[in-house]
Amino acid sequence: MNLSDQVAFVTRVGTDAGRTAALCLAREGAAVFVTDASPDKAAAVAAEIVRRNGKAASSGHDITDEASWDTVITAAKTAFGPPTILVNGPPDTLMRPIAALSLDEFRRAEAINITGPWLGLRHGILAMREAGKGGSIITLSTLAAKLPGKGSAVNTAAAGGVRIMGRAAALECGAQSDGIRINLIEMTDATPDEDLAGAVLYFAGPDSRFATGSEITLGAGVVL
Amino acid sequence: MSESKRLSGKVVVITGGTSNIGKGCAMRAAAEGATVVVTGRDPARGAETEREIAEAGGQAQYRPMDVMVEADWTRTIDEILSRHGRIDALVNNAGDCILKPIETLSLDTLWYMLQINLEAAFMGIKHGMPAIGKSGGGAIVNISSVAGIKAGPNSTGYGTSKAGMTNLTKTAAIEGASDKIRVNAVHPGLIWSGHSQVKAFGEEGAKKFRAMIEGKTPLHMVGAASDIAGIVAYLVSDQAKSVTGTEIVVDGGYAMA
Repeated sequence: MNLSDQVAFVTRVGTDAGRTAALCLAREGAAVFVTDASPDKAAAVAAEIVRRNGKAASSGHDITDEASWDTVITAAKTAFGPPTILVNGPPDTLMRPIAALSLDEFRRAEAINITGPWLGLRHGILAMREAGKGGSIITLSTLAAKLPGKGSAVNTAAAGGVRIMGRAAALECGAQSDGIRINLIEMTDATPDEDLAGAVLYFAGPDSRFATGSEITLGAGVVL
Repeated sequence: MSESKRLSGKVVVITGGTSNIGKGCAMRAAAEGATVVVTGRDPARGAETEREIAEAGGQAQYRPMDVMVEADWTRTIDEILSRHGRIDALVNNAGDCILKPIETLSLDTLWYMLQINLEAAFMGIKHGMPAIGKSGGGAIVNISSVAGIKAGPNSTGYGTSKAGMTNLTKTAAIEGASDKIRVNAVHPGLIWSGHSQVKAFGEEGAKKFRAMIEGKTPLHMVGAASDIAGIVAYLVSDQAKSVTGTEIVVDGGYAMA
């Protein structure tokens, strides 16, 4: 797959899944702007990509803060041009029974898991529309939307939320004829890196030009 | 592994592989390095598909077969195993679509829809799974339709047959898991092949039908066979080894709109 004319933007690359998404896009030739709450972790992933002869730049990024999005999207544009691929990194998983979970903890988790991806959709769409070339937005999520379990209230709310939110955004993009596709990947902690990479590359590349509001579930059948 | 040769060394069987979506899947699988067996009922189209794939540098073989006949399944699977020694993937693609209001849909037509779309996939799984299992595992991909997830008028036969395929897919995924056989369904939106729509609706009617579907599709487009070939190649490849029992929708957003 040749993504050498693409600019990718990937959040939460300090996580395994975020890093995997960034590395596979870079391997196929995309210039990748990587971010994380930890600037050091983001810089380490960018350095790894550059070491493998890829193109990358990085920044610290609070995905729950709109001003931070403005800053990093501007930085990405300056480095490589407007993004044509945006990957919302994976959620933070928090297993805790509702009775034992404080409202503050719930809010902190959902800021990362719902507000963050929502801002990613919003700023991805705005940047892609401005560039006028369409694009692909991919949200990394978990099986919690399909597989609720004891103690998973925070995770189910987030996974269910981003799943349907992405579809709403896909419909809005369709209504604007802006050529932006929005898709979802659901995975587990046990999903191998190369399996996540395959799904990311499918949704990032031209093979999925007819797919929007769709999802690939990397669950090895556990939801069955 | 290179993205372009994900299927090297695999024997991939595609029913209805000599036209439309099936042919697109065959061309793509061959381009990705698979040895492809296409089945169909028209030897002339079979020969043409063999030739086109060979000219593109791929390997393909046509096998005459009616997917509604169980004896054809056992014979075809046996022939493929004796010639190629293995089967790594089966794409249950052959099917047909008849859309009529329920009051004019004959019971015979309902049975035909269930036979060609659902029974054929059942027999493919029944006879394909043991062969894939003996080959060390692999993938079955059932080509369904958006009509299997979104109800629409005139679809009591076609839509019901495709909706049935969903449960068939998930059950087969559970049963096949211990033999490392993954089973998934793909739900295409309208895939434009030109001549088949013109045959169904006439020249003007086909144009109107296409415009109507494009208007209802968030991406404002119809698909091409290559759009389904891409997801099928992915599902057959080892990149999708965590994917089983799923339904993947490739429809321009049609089903959710």
